[in-house]
Amino acid sequence: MRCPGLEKLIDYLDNRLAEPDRAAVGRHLATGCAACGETRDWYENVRLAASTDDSVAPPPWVLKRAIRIFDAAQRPRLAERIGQAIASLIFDSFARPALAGVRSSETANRQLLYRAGDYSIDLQIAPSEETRAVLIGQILREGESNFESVSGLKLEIVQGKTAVSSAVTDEMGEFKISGVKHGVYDLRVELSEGNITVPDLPIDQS
Amino acid sequence: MSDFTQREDRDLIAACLSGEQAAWDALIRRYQRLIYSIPLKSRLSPDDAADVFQSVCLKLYEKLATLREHDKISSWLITTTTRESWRVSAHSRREPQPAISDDENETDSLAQLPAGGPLADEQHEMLERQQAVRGAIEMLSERCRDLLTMLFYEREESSYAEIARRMVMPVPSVGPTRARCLEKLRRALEGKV
Repeated sequence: MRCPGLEKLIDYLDNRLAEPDRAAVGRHLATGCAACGETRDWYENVRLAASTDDSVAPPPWVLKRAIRIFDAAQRPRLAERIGQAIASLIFDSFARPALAGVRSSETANRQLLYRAGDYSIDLQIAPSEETRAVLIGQILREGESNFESVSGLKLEIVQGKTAVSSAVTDEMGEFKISGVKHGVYDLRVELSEGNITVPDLPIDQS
Repeated sequence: MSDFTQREDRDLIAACLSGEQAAWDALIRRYQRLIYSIPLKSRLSPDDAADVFQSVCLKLYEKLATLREHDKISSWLITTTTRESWRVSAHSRREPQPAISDDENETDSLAQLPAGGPLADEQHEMLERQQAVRGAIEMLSERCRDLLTMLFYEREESSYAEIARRMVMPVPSVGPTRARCLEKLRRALEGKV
């Protein structure tokens, strides 16, 4: 008998082959055919490995914890990444050309978006009195949905070397500083891994 | 985004060293069963097995650069996980042990490894072979993966008719499909089994 072919050989090894084919394959293997013998040995090794494999997968939390090793190791402290981080201005609502003669209440508030590393600082400056404004903001961290890194952060409005006002972010990273006198300030945010400074923040009526 | 699940170990490690999180994800998922089961087979509790898992993965991360040229990651993982399991086991024996719940007793069904001392060559080799087969099947197409998992890993042997029904294929197609999948598996396992 010539080599039976993989299908028939596997059926034979799996005891799925009926007579007389079964006897024929048995006789062929008994001739010592090298190719079929190698296939038989390989298949039986694979079957044995699979049938004795009683491994179990870890619980999802164990797997996730191990996967986080990489991210934690790749994400060094903010201060090591970018030193005392200076935030970059990404968006300024006042940088868009306003429609001539139109200044609605919506556009009176200035929206500013800053970024430093994987942190973003979303600010709104709203006029309150003639010479003062309210600074409202939210700090977010990329990839974080539970606000863990941005809640309870201390921040200050600084002019020169003087801290003019301060606040602490709430559980969603939001804050509000009222009665800020018109002027240009630095906003400093104190993180657990470093500081971020928003430089030359314009708090005025323009 | 690249599909790291199809890459060989050496490529995964190189990608990890280049900062690819997805490569690390794929590497850990590839070996998760191997790393977790060894401490359980050494009769550690699931909590201790979880600690061993984390320790071994930390060591794996630290050793990525060294392992880049290593021929057999699975062999290194088996040795490292076994050693870590002894260490935890030895430490546990010095501490009073809480009663093991019925849930934890489920792991008693796993074939046991000796407590202390290196694995016998045949045990080490069998763990490697099991990992190789599992890993190679994972890299096949979904159809081959489903078929070979049904054929190799289910306790109850299915008839061709049952296989055909579950795979949504005609009964006469089962044999040829199985043969094609086995040929692909054999190529994927070349030199490993």
